[in-house]
Amino acid sequence: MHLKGALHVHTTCSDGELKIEEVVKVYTDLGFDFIALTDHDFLMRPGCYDRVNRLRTDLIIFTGIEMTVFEKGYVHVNKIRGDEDVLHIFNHPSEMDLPMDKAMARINAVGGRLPLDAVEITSKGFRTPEFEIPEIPYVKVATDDSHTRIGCGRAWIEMDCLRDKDKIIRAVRHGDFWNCFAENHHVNHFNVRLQGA
Amino acid sequence: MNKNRNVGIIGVGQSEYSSHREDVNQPEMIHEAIREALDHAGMTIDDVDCIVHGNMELFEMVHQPDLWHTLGSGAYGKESLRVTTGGTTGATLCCAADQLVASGMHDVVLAVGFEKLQEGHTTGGITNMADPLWARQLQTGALTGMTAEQVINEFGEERAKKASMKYRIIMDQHAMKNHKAHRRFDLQWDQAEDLMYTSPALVGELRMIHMCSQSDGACAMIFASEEKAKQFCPKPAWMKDHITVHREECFHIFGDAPVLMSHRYAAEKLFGRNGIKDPKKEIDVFEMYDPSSWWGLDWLREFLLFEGDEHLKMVENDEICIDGEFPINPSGGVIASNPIGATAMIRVAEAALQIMGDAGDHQVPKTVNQALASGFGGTMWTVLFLMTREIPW
Repeated sequence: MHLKGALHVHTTCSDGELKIEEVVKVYTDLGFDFIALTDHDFLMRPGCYDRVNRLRTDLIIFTGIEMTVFEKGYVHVNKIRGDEDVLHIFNHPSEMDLPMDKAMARINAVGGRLPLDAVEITSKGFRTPEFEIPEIPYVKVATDDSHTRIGCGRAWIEMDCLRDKDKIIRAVRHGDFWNCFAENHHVNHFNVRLQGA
Repeated sequence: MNKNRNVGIIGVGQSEYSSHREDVNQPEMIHEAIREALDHAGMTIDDVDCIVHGNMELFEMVHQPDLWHTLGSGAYGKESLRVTTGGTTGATLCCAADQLVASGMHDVVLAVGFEKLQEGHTTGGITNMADPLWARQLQTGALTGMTAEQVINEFGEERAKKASMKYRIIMDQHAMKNHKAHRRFDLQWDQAEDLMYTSPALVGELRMIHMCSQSDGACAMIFASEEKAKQFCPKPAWMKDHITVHREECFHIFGDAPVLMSHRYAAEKLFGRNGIKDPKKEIDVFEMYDPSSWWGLDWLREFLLFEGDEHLKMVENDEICIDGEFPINPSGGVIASNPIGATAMIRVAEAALQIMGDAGDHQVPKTVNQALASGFGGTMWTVLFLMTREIPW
């Protein structure tokens, strides 16, 4: 089954502008099959994702958290929960504003502390190709990191996979997906460039 | 202040504030604010004589941005002035516009402050400002935990932390009423205890939750002579007085810790020459430049000329809430929105809106006869404004 998904989505549970229900509607309308809610750890209130289980939607909704990790400064790591499995993604390394060797050192240091599976190659949904290099020994993944309506649907992944949370996580971990980027963020989402992961 | 003639604020416009305004470029973002200010004043760009433009120089890595922004600002064929004074830029823009009108040089001046920080490198710009060879022996930057430490030392850890977090949540609740504000977290009281400890630390007890962010956004204001103001606007906010105080020599990289005296000095002078004996009673609303909830808390004491813990009590007793006795930052303040070159102007703009009764959902529920607004910059630079509903002279 061909699936389309967003692995980094914010809501009003932290600093996003859209409520969970609104995020679900936006991504459903954009033709997504799954999303991961990943609000900031320190702003999340206990139980704020409880209502996800009560939503009537065909969208597969992962719940996760964007962790604030101190590694010579604050970096962000998404922890996305499946039914059994857990995925860890190092977020938007370009936003560290570091030379590549230092950025890689930070990623590797975090990789030594957490079971890191992947590294984002986008910033707010915009592609950062400088991190698509084999020297970074992790799967490269494109995400929106959406906080607003216009931030939804800029970058995503597609895969051939069953509609099963743990199978989706394993597909990401093994790089069995395509990174996709909208060429014109503000006009439509029809012009899509596929890139082998 | 002896003014040649009265100056009224007759139009205010603001863009939406956000961490990333990818949907507009700089001229478009500025145009958003200017369009709204012109509509608010009921005039067109043809009615404007002069444009005063400002931001944090080189934060967007653009030299002479006012020239590039002509398309958005409407400055083509008009007199134009560019002003940059650091964090106080927005406030200084207001001073300049006010004086250009008061002097008689122009009848209608449009001031616009902006910042589009997603396109630049703020830290790079700030850290290059220190240069001992050129007597710029200062290290600017807002990330300092010194105030938190001082407040904790003076009032005890528990009371200080609670007051600071209460100030922060009140500001967020105000921001929730301001749909243009950047950071609107909908913080609730039951989060206060957690946030005091779980919010990532920046420096000492200054945590991420306490601190302002950087924003993209623009603010525009129209200043007019008394004659023009009355012609265009039924309820101008009058610029009665303003004062600028700065002491660069007290902020050294090498040497003693800086002592912030410019706020109190400015307030004493401004209140003294305008006959204000009890600012807490005589001022109806204060839009204060509060880069963090620690500073906002501490600076209340300076601006209101308090001693002791009266400023803490004001926070503890909800007096600074939008419907309180002395509302502070109904807009949500700097902690909610911080497009740096516009930030201090937003304080003046929001105070003017409160006087005009046009602040919308964050309008304070009382008549605002006198309002204060402040700006602050890295070189211990304070600008303080007094605006009135009644025409000053």
